[in-house]
Amino acid sequence: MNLAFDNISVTANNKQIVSNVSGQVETGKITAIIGPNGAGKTTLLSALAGLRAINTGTIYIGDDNIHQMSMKERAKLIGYLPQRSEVNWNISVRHIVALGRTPHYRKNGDEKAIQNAMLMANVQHLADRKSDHLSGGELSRVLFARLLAGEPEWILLDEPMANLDLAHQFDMADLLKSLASHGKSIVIIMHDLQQAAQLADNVIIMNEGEINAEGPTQEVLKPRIIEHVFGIKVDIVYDSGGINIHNILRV
Amino acid sequence: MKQSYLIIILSLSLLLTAILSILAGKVWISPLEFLSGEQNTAIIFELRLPRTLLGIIIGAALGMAGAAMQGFLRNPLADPGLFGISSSAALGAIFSIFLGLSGFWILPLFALLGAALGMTLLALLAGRSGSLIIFTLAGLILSSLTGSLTALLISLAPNPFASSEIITWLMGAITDRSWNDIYFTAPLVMIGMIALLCIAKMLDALTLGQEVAISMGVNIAMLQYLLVIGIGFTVGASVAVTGIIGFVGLVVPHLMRPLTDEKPSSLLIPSAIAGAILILAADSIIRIIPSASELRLGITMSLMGAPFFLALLYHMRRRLV
Repeated sequence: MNLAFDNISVTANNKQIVSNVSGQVETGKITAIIGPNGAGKTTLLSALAGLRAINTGTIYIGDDNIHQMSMKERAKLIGYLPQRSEVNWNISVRHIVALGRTPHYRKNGDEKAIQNAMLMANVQHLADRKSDHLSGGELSRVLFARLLAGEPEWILLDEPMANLDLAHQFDMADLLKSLASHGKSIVIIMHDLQQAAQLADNVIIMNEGEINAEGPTQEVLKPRIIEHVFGIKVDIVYDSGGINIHNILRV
Repeated sequence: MKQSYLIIILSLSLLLTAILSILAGKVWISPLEFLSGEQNTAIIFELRLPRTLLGIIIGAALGMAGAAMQGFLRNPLADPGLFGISSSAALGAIFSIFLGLSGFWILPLFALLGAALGMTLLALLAGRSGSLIIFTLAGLILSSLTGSLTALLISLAPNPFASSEIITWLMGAITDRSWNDIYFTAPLVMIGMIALLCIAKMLDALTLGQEVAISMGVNIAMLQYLLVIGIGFTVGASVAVTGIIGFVGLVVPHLMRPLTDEKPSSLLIPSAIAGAILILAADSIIRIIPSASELRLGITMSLMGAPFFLALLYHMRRRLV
């Protein structure tokens, strides 16, 4: 059940933000979307989540067009975590995570999913704490737990590492790998090329609303492509420890 | 506090306030002489009981409408008056006074028509975007439009009696209301409250922002329509029989919030009960205070509400700085 998008365009305020892009995201894999600021990454991700109207094109998961699903069906299938965290009332962590069950509306099994999600995101010790008393990093993890509580097959994340300290970034990376190994499909927008290189099975590189390259990480993360898109020179070493990016220099 | 305890305590308080409201007035009726004598029975069944019940109905309507509004706009300073629905209903009502139409059903019917027109305009102006800013601005535009049309009607009133009647009516009161007013208001308020209870879970999801709520399957356009229906029926029906009684929808949810888990859905029922308590208490105080002519409930609520609003704003500003 891959996610296939074909000829997608998104326009906002008469400006084309994503232009006729097509591609495939493999199921059970981690796919990183990278690219400079303003490349259209967030717009593409929210379009793939079905949250943004598209001007042209189609998005399919398996044989199902996501725009023909009911909102509930789609919400059960796709979990989405935006870049900006927002919690408007001072509610407890447990209640925030429980909101992840919104598309399901069933009493039995909810508590188990909520507990599991808190455990996975390592926020169970914060369960009774109110949102006003959370640090930025804690809030990010709590909101990720909210997404996990919905038990979606597809997990779409917009820079989830942005507020996390290094140790929690490693935890998050391990968790994402473990989720993927259990069959979850993950699409993640990242800025740190090294992190993307270590984490992702596949990479989509975007620039100016278009996809410049996509495919397995080793094939896509090439010094030539990175120089073209980001305007920086890098050395890339493939060894037993994975992919390492060195000697980053501005062109 | 656990939600069920809170509701039990509030319900008991409401019962006590309702008893006080039935006994209090120019003629105090002691509980011992409750139903003794024809005069007492008449006072209670024809005057006090309808007034008390009406106070409960509109207090509950305004309290719940305020809680729902604050949940939808994600703003503790929001009030149903902000949507312009109460002022649309008021405009409808005073239009009937302006035309000199009489008859029991005419004024409330016109008020409801005004509220319906206001709701339709609001839904059209806000469109399907679900944008919070557009919705709030549409409400503000409607509010100022109906406000100016109200002023116009007062200035063009055919005779001084009509303008005086309009102004008195605008002040809001539950004095001298009959059982017919209750038969008229209760079903409409009930429909509105059911609509608001239907969106409770959606309001919770909205706590995490509109984008996340949509990603969790919340249909924002549907939420907006149900909210407009809910506010329209609760506030419209209340204004139709009592005139404008402000601040209940602002003050009550704010007082209740710290006693709940702060989820918008947890606030709806406690705010309804506490709204009823507040209206009954304020209305009882009005009756007890010795004065030449009885104070209007709408004015009393505004006098009590405005300082509260200022204190709230001051407190919030201090937290932001």
